[in-house]
Amino acid sequence: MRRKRRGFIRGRISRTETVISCMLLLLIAGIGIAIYAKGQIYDPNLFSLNQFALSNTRSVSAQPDRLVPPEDEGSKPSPAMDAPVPSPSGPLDGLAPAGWKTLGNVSQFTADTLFEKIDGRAEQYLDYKFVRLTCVSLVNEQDKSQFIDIYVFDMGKPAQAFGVFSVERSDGLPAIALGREGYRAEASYFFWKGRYYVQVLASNKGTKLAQVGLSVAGTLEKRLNDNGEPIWGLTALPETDRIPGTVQYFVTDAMSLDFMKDTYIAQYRKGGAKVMAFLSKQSSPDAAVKTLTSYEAYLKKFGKVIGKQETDIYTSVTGDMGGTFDVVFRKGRLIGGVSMVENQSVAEKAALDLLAVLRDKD
Amino acid sequence: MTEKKDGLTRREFIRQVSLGTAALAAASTIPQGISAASTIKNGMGYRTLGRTGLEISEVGLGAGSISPSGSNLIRAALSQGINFIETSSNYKNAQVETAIGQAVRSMGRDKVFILTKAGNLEIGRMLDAPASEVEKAVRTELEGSLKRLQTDFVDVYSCPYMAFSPKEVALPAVQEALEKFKKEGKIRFKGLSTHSDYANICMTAIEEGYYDVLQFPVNFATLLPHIRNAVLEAKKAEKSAGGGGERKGEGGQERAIIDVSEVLKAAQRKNVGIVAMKGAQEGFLPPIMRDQVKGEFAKDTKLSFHQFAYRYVLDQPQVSTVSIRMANMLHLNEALVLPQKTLKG
Repeated sequence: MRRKRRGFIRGRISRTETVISCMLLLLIAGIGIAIYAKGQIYDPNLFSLNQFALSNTRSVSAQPDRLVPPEDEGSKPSPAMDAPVPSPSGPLDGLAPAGWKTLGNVSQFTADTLFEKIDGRAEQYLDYKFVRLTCVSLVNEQDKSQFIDIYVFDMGKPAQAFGVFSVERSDGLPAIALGREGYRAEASYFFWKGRYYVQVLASNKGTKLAQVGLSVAGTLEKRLNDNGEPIWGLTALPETDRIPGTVQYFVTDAMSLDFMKDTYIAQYRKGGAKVMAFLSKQSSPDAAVKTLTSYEAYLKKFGKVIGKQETDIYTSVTGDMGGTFDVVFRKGRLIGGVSMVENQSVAEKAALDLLAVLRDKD
Repeated sequence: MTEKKDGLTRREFIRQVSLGTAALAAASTIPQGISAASTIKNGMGYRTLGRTGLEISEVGLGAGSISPSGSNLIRAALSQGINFIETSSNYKNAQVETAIGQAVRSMGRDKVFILTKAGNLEIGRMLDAPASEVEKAVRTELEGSLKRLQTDFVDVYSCPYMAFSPKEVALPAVQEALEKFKKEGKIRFKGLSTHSDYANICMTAIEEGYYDVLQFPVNFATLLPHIRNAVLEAKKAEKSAGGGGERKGEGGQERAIIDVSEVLKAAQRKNVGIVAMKGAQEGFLPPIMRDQVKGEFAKDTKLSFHQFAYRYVLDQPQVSTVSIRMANMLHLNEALVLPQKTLKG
């Protein structure tokens, strides 16, 4: 039996068989190397499911999707309107001065269609409860390269019109007497009046075009109503040391803090230092307590709390944010303070100054 | 023991070789993911931005939604290990660059790599313009950015911004201008961004070899054909049912959903850095499909959808960084944990 079984084992292997075997082994090794190399450039489609069933039923995420890219935030369902609606009349009709004419129709956009006109920026307007955009273009009859685009944003309320105006305003641009507040950027004009935020945008720079733009803006400004409703933050934030044209109103994410809603911010000169102060009227004292707690948690996470003071009138917390200082206080349902101040004593004094003014007003 | 004179019978040898090959094959199909692509330091992953050699955080701070009062967000991000900021001259009327400038001045310029873009220029409208005019326009944009950012240079300057056609990436006037700025020390590397026809535009740029960094949409829909088809079908159905259908992109263009898998491979071959954007944007994956996509990869994931979507983008080893638009600290906190997570959570 043993001899018979040993007969299956050959003591000698021919040269041809050795060569073929080596080639086969090399081939296997080559395939292995190729697969490995291919794996280094991962193809995400390689093992994806081919039959991705698209259910027609609306699904609800089981978990909160909190990391919402702002580009999607506040976006509305797809528009029901097909196209901008021509407006037969309105404040934009007949605006063209001599030598200019209207280009196309006056068009309007609602919250559902705003992205068609200003995609990428629409969400900011929607945050401020945007109602309607009415716009038109004027073109120079002699020189078609010169045109003026006019945008009238109806924001529903004066505070919202001021808010969107204020957050779009760039530093250092010259103020101009248009509406409640306005400024010029080269040959373009921006102002707000009542519930309206207006942009008169010139195609080029140049004195002549700037004059035409100003004339158009002035005519338009007279046609817009203003109910005179005051803006709380503009009067609540003290005017002493305040840098003109720096008050801003944020409906959300003031100072990039998700819990700081309905907040007014202004820049001040305190001594030689620039100080950013903020003030927010919360819905109730309890809500203000909650906001202060959130602020303190933020200070702890990204810096450290270096001081806390509680009196019968207010509670304040001071944070060192690694070279800059924040002081936040709560008084009743008000949350206020200063942020990103480079000097601790300046920060604390500025916060106290703000607090004192509020106390006087109470 | 003649049958084992080399230690193995042929049968055993073949069996072992087969097992080895199978194991190798199996190993190679595992997505390389973060462990292969990143270096982790203090919880943040860092990757090389292609041939620039810059070691940038894989979580990039997309600055487009930062509030003008939000330089504290930038400071917080930098203090937590993010060292790459992606911005543009036209974000919030340039106020975002101003906020970045304030933060960078106090934190130190050496702590951060900045990519900004010629956001107010439409290069597509300058295809026939004289080179001197192009240079002047780009210079005005760049110098405005440098002033607001309070820096002498940017690490990556993207021009064209939002390229609409391959012609824009091969425009000699732009390339000459960028070379000049590079020699002047105002920019270190050249980039471009594109939202439409991006596969063609990027492939042209890669083949031409001029640009060091590309920025384009990378997400489930642009990577996976079956999801892309499902999204397109869903949009088509919505449109025919009377809904708005396809949402338009910037400039009124249709928002394109295009396969970028070949672009990723080509970029890797040519060592071009990739800044992924729109990783979780609704226009590329409607909310109605989110649970289905989650279910396909990790049904019981502990991540929010947006974390999940960005994590998936980071699982592509060719991606250098994913630019995540952050508006507040909540967004920052959720982005900061991504390097330590898998799709399962």
